[in-house]
Amino acid sequence: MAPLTVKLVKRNQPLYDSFDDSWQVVHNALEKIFSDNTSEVSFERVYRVVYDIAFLGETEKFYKKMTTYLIDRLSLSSQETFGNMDVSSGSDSSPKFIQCFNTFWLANNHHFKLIGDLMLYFDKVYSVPKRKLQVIDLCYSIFATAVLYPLQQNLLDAFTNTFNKIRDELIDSEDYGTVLEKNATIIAELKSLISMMELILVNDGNVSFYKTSFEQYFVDKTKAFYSNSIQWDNLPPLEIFYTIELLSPAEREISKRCFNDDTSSKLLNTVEEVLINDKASNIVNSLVSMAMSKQDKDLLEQIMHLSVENTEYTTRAYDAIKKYIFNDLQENICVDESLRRRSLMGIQWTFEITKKRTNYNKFLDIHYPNGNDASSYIIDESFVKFLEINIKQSIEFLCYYADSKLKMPPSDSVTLETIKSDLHPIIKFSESLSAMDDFMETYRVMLSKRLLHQRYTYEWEASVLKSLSSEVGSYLTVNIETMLKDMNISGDLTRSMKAMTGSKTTDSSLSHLDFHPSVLTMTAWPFDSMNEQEEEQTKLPSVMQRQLDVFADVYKKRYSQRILKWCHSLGLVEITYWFGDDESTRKYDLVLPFHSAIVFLLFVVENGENQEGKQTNQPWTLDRIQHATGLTTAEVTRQLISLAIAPRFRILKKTSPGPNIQSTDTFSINEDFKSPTETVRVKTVNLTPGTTTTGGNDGTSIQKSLERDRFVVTNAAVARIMKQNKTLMERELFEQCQAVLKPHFFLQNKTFQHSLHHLIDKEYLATDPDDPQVYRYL
Amino acid sequence: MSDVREEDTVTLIASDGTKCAIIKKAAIISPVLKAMIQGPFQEKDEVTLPDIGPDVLDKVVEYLELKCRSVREGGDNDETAIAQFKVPPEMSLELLLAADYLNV
Repeated sequence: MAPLTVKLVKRNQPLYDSFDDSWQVVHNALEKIFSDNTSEVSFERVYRVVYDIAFLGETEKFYKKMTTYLIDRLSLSSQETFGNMDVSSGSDSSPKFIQCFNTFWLANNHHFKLIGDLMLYFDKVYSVPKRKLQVIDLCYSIFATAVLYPLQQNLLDAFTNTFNKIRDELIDSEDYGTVLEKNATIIAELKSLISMMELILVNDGNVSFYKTSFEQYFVDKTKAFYSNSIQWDNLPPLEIFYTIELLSPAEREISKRCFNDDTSSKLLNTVEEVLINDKASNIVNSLVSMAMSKQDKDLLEQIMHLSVENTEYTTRAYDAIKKYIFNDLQENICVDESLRRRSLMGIQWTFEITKKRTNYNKFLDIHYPNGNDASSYIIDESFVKFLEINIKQSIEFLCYYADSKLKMPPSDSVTLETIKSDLHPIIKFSESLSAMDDFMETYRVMLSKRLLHQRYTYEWEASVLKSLSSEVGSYLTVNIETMLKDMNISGDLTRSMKAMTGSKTTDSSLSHLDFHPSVLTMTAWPFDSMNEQEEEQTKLPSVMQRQLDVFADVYKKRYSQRILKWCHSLGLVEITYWFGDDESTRKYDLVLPFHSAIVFLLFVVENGENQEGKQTNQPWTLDRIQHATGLTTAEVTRQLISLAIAPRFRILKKTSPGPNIQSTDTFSINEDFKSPTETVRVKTVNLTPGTTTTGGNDGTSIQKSLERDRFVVTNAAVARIMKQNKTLMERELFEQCQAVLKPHFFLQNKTFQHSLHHLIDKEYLATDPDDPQVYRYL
Repeated sequence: MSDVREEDTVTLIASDGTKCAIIKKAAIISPVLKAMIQGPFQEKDEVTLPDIGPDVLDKVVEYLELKCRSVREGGDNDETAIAQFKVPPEMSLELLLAADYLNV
């Protein structure tokens, strides 16, 4: 291996011995650079001089000299360039200033790069190791202090003025392309200045001038521009709307061209803030009203699409639509008090509502931002809000409507399809009502009447039930399901009974009875528990009783384990009767509640077909009627008032005039009875004080059963929540219960307190001995 | 080097006046040479380097062209390029100074 020999190199002598001479060379070169006279400068020579300076360890001195020189030089040339310039804020001079400043910057930036190149060696051995600014950054920093800061305000103003001028042109023109083309030079200058501001670092090189001094300033100015440059207050809403619609795309076009994504989105947000939050949100109400009252679908769609991302605006727009619908309903939907019956008012009222809903569905069927189909949600929310104003009445009316539809016999014009579409809105509403259970209960009561009175179509009821069940949950529809099942079973039983009796024909007198027994599961039907004693004491005409016995036999054969009890008061009797003398008879089909029927039948039996062989010439007094029917005195009185005194169905007459029934009054059939329709539905008057004879009949019982149900459900909810949490503050417990029960009904404090007391009584819960507000699960 | 056109090369002049041609692309690997050649200064196609001796300059040119080729051929095989580059030990100090001066 050859021995390593190191040749000692003697370094070449430095070009100049004294620092001042060396500096002079550098100084001359810098002067030449600043006066763009570089072709006379030898790079290598200057570079070597700097190399020598570094080698001789005069770096610090040199750096200071450089700094002082650059400050002087830049201040001077700035003075020369801008000193005589009119930089006052006149907007006409702004583009000129921008142009001038940009030229100045570009020239200097070029010089800085050259200087930076010359100082490459210096940076390597001094600036970098000593953590000083590299020479080029020193140049930028001095540019900032000597030029940029002194002229900052002028520059920013000129920038803003120039930019706003282009904005104005864009807003006035429909062709952005031409405007941008025309302003291409100035836009390029603005962009160049933006990169200058991004390049120049301030605060010890931590952050750019752009960030510290420009961006926020410009955002604020942009805000001011859009707030003030247009005389918003003098414009009508529609004009404002169209202006706003124009502005955002214009701003997007220009800011995208000039700024980085970050700033450009900041600017757009600002514009959005000014235009949408401040301006559009204020007029959205009147705009929406305008579009809706004019039925202008396109305008509404435009309004909805004005801002896709601004949720506040969108929410306001949705709210405006809701408000409009709600007001429309409040103004235009009212109860027609002139109608004779409450059910008719309800049907009419609901019909108007469903008509409105259909119209709104058609009108609001537009494209919504973010692809949401918001229409049905908006509509249902507004309608439900309207329904909630008088929730009791609304529920009643909706149910009347449903009832009227479902009662209709099937025909060509009334089919399952029409029923479905007619009832669809009602089912939709039911889901959102706060008292959903109330709705279901009212519906159930009306359904029970339809079923018992044989005025229903099974297929329809089942289909509506299915829809309801999917909207409100099966918890509330389980009873209805049982009711429908009962009707099915009853139909079966009737058929098998007919088959049996038909073949035997044991009793020919039964053949003219058309008997439809309904076997009801007691718990599922909305009736208070039956008064068994009263029912058993009721005496039926013998032919009816025999019919019931036949059915009872059939039933017992099939279900030997079950108890069959008759609940006559729920029954309905249809009697065809010829009123009047032999010459002028009028045939009427009387539809009577069961008790009315047995009272009426006493007279029919009396009149001729006396099968019982009773004495026929005794007058029918209250006492005798009561005795013959087995009903209570109060019930007989009620029936007699209904049949002989109430104005519309006076099919009996009594001997003494006047509205009261006395024990001496006797009754007979009113052969003069006349009615405009062949079918006469007789209603029994309600003598319970405080309720009206029309429709209020079931109100209190629904209310009672509702309260009972709600109480039970609340108990269960409280117990469940307490079991999980063990101890809870009363307020927390109440809130949790409310949340849990919200799908069923709105929990009132009264029910809640009632439930708490009940559970404490039953020793499920106890209050904390130290704090009565805290409950414990036991 | 014969396939390289005249205008693609630069002449480097050593301390004793020896001329040495180098491809421009190789020369601009040194930021200093790059600034000299591409800047608006006196130096255009001839760069005098009075501090660097002829043999050292040869070595510098060899290094720069080797480096240039290795970069062009796909970058990261610096290892092999360096393996091919032999420095006579007695020249090493001078070469280091030159490298320092040229910032390579």
